[in-house]
Amino acid sequence: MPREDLELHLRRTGGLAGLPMVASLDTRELAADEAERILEALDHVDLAHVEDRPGAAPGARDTFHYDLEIRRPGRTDAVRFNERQMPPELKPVIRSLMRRAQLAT
Amino acid sequence: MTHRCAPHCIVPPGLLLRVAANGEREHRDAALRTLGLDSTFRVARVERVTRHALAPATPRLLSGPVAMPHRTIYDQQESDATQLGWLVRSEGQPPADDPAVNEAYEGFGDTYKLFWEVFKRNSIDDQGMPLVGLVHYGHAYDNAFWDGMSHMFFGDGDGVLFTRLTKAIDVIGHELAHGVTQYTANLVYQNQSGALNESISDVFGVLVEQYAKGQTADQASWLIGADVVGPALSPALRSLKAPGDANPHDDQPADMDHFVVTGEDGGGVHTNSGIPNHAFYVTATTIGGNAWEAPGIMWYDAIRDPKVHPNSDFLTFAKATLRSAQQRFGAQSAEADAVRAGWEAVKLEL
Repeated sequence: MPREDLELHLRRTGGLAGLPMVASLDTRELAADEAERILEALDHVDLAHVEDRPGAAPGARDTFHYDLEIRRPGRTDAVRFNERQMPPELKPVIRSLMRRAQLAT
Repeated sequence: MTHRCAPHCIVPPGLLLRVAANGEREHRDAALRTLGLDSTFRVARVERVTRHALAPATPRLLSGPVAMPHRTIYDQQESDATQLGWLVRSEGQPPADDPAVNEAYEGFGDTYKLFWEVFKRNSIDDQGMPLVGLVHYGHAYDNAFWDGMSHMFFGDGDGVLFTRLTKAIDVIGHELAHGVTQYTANLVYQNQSGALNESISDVFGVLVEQYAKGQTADQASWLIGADVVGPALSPALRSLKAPGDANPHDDQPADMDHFVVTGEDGGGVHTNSGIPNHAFYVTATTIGGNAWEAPGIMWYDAIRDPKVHPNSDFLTFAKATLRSAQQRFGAQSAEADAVRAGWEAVKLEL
């Protein structure tokens, strides 16, 4: 069964610089292999268990925080997490988005 | 020669610490080397043991009559795994072929030197905590961070926002100062206490650079990250002299009238830090001379002031700096006047 296309919107904050960066992509506009890589990765992420847990890295400073929105027809999921809590399955998704990221104006 | 450290350890960290603290010199040195070379879990446990089991009122010198840093640098080889990578340089070893390794090692040394020689603080925890650097972390990683467990991670940058982050001695000082704050005021990383946390790291970051270069307040650039920003953030990441003017994206306020209310970045911890940063700059340049002397000492007193607690706001901290000035130099001293001028410049009423 073909996977459902989706839009992704990412906002990265924090880090040493503290300057927000934003990125978006639409899997319909990507090369087939990159779209497939993203869709497959998202198939394996349990979004219900992706969360920003302050206790997970209590003394960490200057790490990145991510706000990721996943828009499908009729449904939008939004997750927030620290880079130290990023599920491994999400890494290729974040990498694809960050290649397109720009400083927020 | 490089080797990967063992994931499991036979000698308990408590024993190593006891040897390090009380053993013969050669045994102490060996124990300290082992403490410095161990795995993530070991170092984390040592940190906890050191912090809780060895807590004398005065610094404990772990390595003889003169305190010294205990540095280990690991090469992460662009991996984003947080386990220690390949050991490439430990304390006392000659320089490696990799400039990032040597920059981290030297930057740790410069930071240790400022805190020991000026403030009589023996490393991050004042107990001789080993300084562990992880270089080449991640692929084109645009950041450096302190993990709260005695490790500092350095990316190589993407060449646009940042270049190799080990090049900046002030950034190294900034990250290690987060550790010092963690072991002193332990300021919560949110809102005003979080912005103070960031500002203290910027202040001690520039002091590390000024002390290493022998620059007076008038000679210093008062910039953060000038050696590591890429073209998008040129000429610097932040400015204590002119918050908001460091680069085209710099949105730091320079006074309380422009305090930024935001839900992002812990309530703008990297933004509103411009306010106390500028107060320090005005204090230091008003006094003149070396900023690590009276100004640095007053700020160092403030992070250890019992009235400064984890949720302290700018005003509480400002009062602590004034209290230090009055106690050390006198209520009507030039130093106390300079502290008042510093906070007045950022429109914070003491």
